[in-house]
Amino acid sequence: MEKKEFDYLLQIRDLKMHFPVKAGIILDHVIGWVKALDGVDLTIKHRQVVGLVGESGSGKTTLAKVLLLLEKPTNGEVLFKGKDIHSLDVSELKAYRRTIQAVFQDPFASLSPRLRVKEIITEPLEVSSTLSKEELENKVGEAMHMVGLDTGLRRVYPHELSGGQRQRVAIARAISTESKIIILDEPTSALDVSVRLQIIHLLMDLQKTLELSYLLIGHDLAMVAYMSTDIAVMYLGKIVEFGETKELLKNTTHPYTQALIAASLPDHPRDKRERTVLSGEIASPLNVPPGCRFHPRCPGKKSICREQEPSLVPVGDNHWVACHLDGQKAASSSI
Amino acid sequence: MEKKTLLQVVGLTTYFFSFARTRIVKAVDNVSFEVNAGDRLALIGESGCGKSTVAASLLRVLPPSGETVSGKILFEGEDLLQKSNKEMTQIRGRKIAMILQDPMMSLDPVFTIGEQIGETLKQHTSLRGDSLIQRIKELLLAVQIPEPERRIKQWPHEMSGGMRQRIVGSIAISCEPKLLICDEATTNLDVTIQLQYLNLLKDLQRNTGVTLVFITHNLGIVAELCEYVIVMYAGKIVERAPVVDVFDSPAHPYTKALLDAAFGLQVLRKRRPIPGEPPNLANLPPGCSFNPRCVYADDRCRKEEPPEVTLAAARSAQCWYPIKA
Repeated sequence: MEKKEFDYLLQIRDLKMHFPVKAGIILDHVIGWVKALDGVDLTIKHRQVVGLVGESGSGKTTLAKVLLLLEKPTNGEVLFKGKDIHSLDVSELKAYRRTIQAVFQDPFASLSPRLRVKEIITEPLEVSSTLSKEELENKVGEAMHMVGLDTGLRRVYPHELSGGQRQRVAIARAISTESKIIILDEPTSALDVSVRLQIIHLLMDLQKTLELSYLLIGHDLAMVAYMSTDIAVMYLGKIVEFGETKELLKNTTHPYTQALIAASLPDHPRDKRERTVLSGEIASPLNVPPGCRFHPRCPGKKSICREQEPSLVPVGDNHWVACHLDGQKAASSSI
Repeated sequence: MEKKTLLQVVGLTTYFFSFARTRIVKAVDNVSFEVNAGDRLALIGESGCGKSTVAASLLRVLPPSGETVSGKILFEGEDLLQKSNKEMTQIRGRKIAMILQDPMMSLDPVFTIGEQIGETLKQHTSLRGDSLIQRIKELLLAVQIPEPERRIKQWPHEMSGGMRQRIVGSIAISCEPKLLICDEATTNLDVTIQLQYLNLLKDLQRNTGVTLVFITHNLGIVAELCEYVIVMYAGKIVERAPVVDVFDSPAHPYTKALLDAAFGLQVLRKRRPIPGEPPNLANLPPGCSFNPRCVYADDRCRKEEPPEVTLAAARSAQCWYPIKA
């Protein structure tokens, strides 16, 4: 393949993931679709930390699975070096898998209990490279050092480590292949509160030192905002707002993003305020509302919202919103 | 107005024992506190600090390896630790109720919503038949679940997480308890649903006067909902204070460290992580349990356990060098 410089690492175009819901015993037929992803466009560039925020049913985990080739989308494409990741040949696939790694939420479930730390860290390397035993040992030492783990722990099993240490092992594993993009799926939610920030700072330091890009998936907007350069807000399978972090928080435009910010808890008891709670429940991806999928819960909806689905349009410098009300910010909620 | 003491915990000590008692985990170590009627108390600390064990000790639902070895739990003046099992069944669900973190664990998947709410009501009241169903409908409306007639026949898996947690809430308040303990009740809920739920709890308190004890590690919930805070670490209470004081001028280094490490949207400043790891309760360091992670620790902290020091009215900290305001 010719060496071509791309200004993005991954380009996600109109990605859809519709899971069929089948019924019937003999003649099994489809009675509905779970539209986990319903048309997502996103670009991940070099050294960018894209935060993906959304609640249940938003599709953020499904997006991660598609990028990791754990699911094949029903529509759309994910371009890596100009080619769709689902049509790569064997060597291109190996290169892709080296480039993109992941750190998951549960540091106990994501590490094999039967492997020692050093084996966990080198497992991705054994599949894709031809390093000698000595080189692998060095890699392990390097990776452990980078994540702040005592190299004396290399022969230890995961159950002998604390949650924070296990997550460090998961991170060491993710950087061992000299990856360029790491998908972080709620990397600190399962950790003790006092340890969370240590891991977050570690991830932020690694991002700078190794010039990594992250796709950070989280439900805690404050934590995502702390770590990310840009934020994409997802609702029921689509991105409803996207922007550079400070801009998005300062000029929050989409009513759902405003609701997320409004629903966030105060930093101090004196900051408590009466605020309108978003009504209703998050709709099911089995039954996506017509028109704008957020309209049933939207405080400012107009008749067009029930009929036509809005597309992402720019509302500022690197700030995109999918809303028919765009430009009209609701009175109080942006900070 | 003189506030009535509803609950008085004195010297509560609960240990977990391994087989043949070779290892002892000091989950709760000499914990004493008071809760007045109508209070909104937060019991904060990270996992392993003992806060959930305090709740389990109170309701006497410890697992077989746990044992409350000493102390008194005076509820409405009577020591719960002296009560028989039969007497405790009259208290659980009726005088003291608890909402846990995962509604899918709290609700039985093979019984309908109506059957589950009805179960508690049948245990503690004489309501049956139509009057029982009427009460169940009232409870569903009280937790803001519309169309109660339809919901009564539904199963837990047919409802969203937020709804299930509200059902759990309705079971908890069904017999009008005096004390409601919420143990990480909103941790599994989506952000927008969490706020609805916290508002619901506030409404419940306004309408029924129930006393709330909130067990959590989330300082945002404490800021939003609670009036008084008790901070636990390694099985002991390290600080207690009114909520505004805790946020404005934490006295214990652990409390301060938690605040420094917490996230908030209002100010996106650089936060400071707490060094080290939470302690191993079977092998606590000598002296103050927090000393390995404390930036202010000195030799005294490493050798001698500090006493609880009263700092002001309703404020104290267990530290040799409480941080001055």
